[in-house]
Amino acid sequence: MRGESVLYHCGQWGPHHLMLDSIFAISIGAHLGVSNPLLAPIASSQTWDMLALVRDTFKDNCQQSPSLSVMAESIRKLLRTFPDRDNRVADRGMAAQYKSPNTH
Amino acid sequence: MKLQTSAFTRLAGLGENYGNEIIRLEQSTPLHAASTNGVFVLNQPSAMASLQAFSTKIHPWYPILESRFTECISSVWSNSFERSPDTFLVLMVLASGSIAQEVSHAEALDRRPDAMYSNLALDMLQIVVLEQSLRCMQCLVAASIYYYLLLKPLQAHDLAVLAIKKGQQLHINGAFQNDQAGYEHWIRVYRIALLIEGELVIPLNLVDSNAWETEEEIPLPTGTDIWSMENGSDMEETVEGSRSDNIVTYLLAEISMRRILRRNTSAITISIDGTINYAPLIAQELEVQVDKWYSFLPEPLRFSLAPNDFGVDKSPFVSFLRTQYWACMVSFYWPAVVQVMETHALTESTMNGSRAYFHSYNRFINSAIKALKVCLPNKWTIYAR
Repeated sequence: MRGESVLYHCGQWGPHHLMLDSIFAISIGAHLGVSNPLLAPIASSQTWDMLALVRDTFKDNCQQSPSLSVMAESIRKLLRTFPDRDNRVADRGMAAQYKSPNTH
Repeated sequence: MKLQTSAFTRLAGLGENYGNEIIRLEQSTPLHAASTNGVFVLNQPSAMASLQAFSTKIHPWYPILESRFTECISSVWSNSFERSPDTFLVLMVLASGSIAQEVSHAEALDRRPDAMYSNLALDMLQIVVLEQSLRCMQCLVAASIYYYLLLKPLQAHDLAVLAIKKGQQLHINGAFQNDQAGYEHWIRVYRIALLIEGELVIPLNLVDSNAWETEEEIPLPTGTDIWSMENGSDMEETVEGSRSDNIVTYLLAEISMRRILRRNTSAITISIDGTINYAPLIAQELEVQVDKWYSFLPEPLRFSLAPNDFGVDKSPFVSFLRTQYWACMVSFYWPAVVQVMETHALTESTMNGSRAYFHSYNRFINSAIKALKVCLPNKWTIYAR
C-alpha cells in the first residue's frame, strides 16, 4: 500500500491507519473494543461469541506454524479472563463483569 | 495488519516488538526437509488422488497450469521423472495435492505426505531458478504455493518474488511477441505471483518488489487455457467452460479487491497540529467503493449481506471474497474505536462508527472461519496477515 508505506517509514504509523484484515488483528481490535467501558455496551453478545470462536480456532489449528503458535498463545492470554458463555447474564451486565488483563 | 506496527501491538498490550519477534521467529526457524526413506517410488493411485486434490482444492485459487498440463504429467511419468522443469512442476503439484487431499490440514502437516515429492523436486531447484522460461516461472509460483500451504510465508514470498523477476525479464525481452497464447498464460501466472507477493510483503516487513507499481499496465487474465483434471475427458465442454469462467471471474474480483486495498483504507483526518480524528464521511465513501465492487460481482460469486445469513456458500470463492468484504468494513470503522479509546469520549459519530465496527467484526469472523476450511493456500494470511 503506497500511502501506508510512506506513513510507516516516516514513523507516523499508528493504530488509526491499520488495514485490519486477519483474524488475529481484527480480533485484537475487537478485544480492545469490548474491554473499553464506553464501547462494551455497543458490542453485541455475538461479538463475545466470535471472540470465543477465535480463541478456539487458533488453539486447534495453528500448532504447525511458529508464528501462528505464538499468536494463538497471545490470543489465549488476552482472552484468559473471558467469561464463559454459560456465565453470562446479559450483554450489558457482561460488559461490566469483564476484566481485561491489559487494564487490570 | 502490519505485524511490525508497534503502535498497534503496544495498544493491544503485546509490546512494541511483538511483530518483529514474530518475524524473527519465522526467519530463524530452520527449514528442515521432511524425512523420507530415500527411495522415490510412485504410487499411481495415490498420485492420481493428489492431482485430483490439487485440481479441485488448490488450482482454482491459483490457476497457473495450462490446459495441456495433463500431457506434461504423462510425459514426466513416462520419462521416469528425469531432471527438468517439467518434472519439477509435476512434483510440486503432487506435493501440494498430497497435502490438500488429507482430511485435515493439521494432520497433513504432521504426517507430511508431500515429502517424497518435494525432496526430489527441491534437488532440481537450481534448474528452475537459473533457466529463463515461462515453465520455470510457473515452477517458482508452484513452489511458492507449496510453501504457502506449509504455512511458510517467508519462503512463499521469496519464491513469488523470484517468479515476478523472471516474468518481468521474459516480458522485457519480448518472449511472447508472436505467441498470443503464451502471453495470455504469462499474464495469468504473473498476476498470481503478484497476488501471493502482495499478500505477504506487508505483514512480514519484506522488501517490496515494486511490481504493484506497474500492475495496471498488465492486461487482465482471460479464462482460456486453464487446466483441470477433467480436461480432455468426456466431460461436457460447457461444464469445462463454466469452470474456467468461474475461476477467471474470481481472479478478476480478487484483482479489483486488491486494487481497493492498495488505495486508502483509513477513514481519518489529520489536522495541522497532527491530531488524528475519525472521519465518518471518508468511512462512508470507502464503504460506497466496496459496495460498488460488490455490485459488480456476478451471481456465482455474489454473497448475501443480510444479517443472520448462515447458509452454505455457493462456492469457496464466495467465502473468501465475503471475508475480504467484511475485513474492509472493519478497517473503515476501526478509527472510530481508536478515537473512543484515546479520547475516553463517545460521540454520536464515533458511536455509530463503533457499532458498524462490531457488526462488521461479527460478520468477518463468521465468514473467515468458513474461509479457513475451504481456502487452504491462504490459511496463514487469513489468520495472521
